[in-house]
Amino acid sequence: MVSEEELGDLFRRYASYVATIGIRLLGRDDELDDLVQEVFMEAYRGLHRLRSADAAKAWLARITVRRATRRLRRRRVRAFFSLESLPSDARLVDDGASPEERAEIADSYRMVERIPIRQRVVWVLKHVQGETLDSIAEICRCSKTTVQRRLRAAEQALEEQKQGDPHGTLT
Amino acid sequence: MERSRSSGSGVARLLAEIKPRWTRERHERVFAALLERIRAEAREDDDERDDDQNGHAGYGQLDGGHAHA
Repeated sequence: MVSEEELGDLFRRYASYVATIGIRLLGRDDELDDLVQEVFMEAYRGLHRLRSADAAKAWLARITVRRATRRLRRRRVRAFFSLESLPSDARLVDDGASPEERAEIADSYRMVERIPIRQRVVWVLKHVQGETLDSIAEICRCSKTTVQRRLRAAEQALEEQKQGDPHGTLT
Repeated sequence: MERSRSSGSGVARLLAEIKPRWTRERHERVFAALLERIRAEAREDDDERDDDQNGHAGYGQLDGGHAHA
């Protein structure tokens, strides 16, 4: 187990990075504080096993993706039983954005939300978060080939939605 | 807002606008809550350990009692 000071140092350096991945995967802000805490709770328990400080960022990204994926799956189950739906006015961007921009972003997230979770995660990491294929393979604990296959499937799903997109958000 | 013409990249550009409002106040609040969770978990672990030790002591006394009976 590490000290609270060491945890505080890790939190200072990476909390906003974890929060950024988290909100882009979850698409909502109201679960974010909980997610960040979960990630750093797990990090606190496992930090002593980390071989080098340089590996901390990728390791935290891996925990974040796993925890966020779990939340997305739970959400999908709740939505299936009509217990939850994404709020239409989900506050995803800063207050400087216009109402039109907010609406566009919420619409975009809803499109991405229709992609199966594992494909969605790699697509967000690649195209929104800007991670490399190697890095995504490391974060998702899968091969680069699997990452590429999921990316193609996600792009195909978006392309199919584009055909039925009345507002042209995807074009 | 700038739009890309290629499939999916318009959505990616829009989603890249999604950033958490990670203010200093929020940062400190979440960290304080994290520490509280860690301390609460440590207290629970301590309580469980105490219970286990008391439980073992109790059995020991009972065993002793039976041995002398």
